[in-house]
Amino acid sequence: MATDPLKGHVDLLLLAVLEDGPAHGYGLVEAVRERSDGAFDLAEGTVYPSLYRLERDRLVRSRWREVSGRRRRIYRLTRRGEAALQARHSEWRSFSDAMEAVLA
Amino acid sequence: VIESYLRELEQRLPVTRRRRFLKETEAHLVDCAERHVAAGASRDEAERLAVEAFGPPDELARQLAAGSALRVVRGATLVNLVVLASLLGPLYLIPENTLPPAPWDHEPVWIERQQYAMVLLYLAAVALAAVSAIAAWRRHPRWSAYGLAASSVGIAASGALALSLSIYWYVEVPGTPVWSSVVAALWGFGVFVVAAAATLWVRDRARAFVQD
Repeated sequence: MATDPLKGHVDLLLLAVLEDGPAHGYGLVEAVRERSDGAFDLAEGTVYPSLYRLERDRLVRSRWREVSGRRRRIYRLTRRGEAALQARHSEWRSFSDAMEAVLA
Repeated sequence: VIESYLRELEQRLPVTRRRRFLKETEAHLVDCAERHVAAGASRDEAERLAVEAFGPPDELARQLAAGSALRVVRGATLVNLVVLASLLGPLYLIPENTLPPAPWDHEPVWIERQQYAMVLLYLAAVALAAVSAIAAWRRHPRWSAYGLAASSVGIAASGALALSLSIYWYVEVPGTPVWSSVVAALWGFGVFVVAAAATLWVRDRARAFVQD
């Protein structure tokens, strides 16, 4: 799927993946790709501006960690991030239900 | 391939995010290339695919600049307000307390006009700085940046007038202490340089500033 339809939803996707546990940038891209069965193929570099924005809003926090002998910046969901994820998820469900109702 | 991509990226990135982003990018590209190698690609091909998937450096630099715009502009508006407050010293406190009285009976009209212009420009710069700070805190980095540039022009003009007046005073009025003229000269020059740099910075970055 082209990346344009994902515009505006990348933050939600990243928060959702981080709900499963901490991950680094590449891991997040891979997780989104796998969980969507390859449908969401994010432009990989653009994940970082989203992560920095989420960090600035204190929805995630990050730290350098040694992973498999290499230094990786690991992102983790904060409590505020968990609450934001629930709120955005519920907004998304309402939107999706409404779209389905119209399209059906 | 990865190294040359990182070098290209480095030249385009905003200073505030450069170091961290480059380190994360390198780790990301190495992971991605290894996945392609594991899938059977040659090292060169794997690195090329990794770089391609990461995206064009210009677009990434634009997105990062936009993401940090609000933070940068907020910091800049605070610095601007501090600079304006510190101008009260060379514009008012030092001249009032250190300069000898004018030797002439009637102050030349041009001096009076220049002083008025200096004060008006200063007040305009303060007003623009306040508007710029409000815009930054209301999440309008682009408008805040333009306000900041306009405020800088006002400060520079006011500083230039103050500088020329202090030089005139030093030459025409006996007993004017050297140090107050030196302070005024350095201050006027410093303010001009800072204002010019701020204006150039805004011109370069304003296009990348998007409404957050």
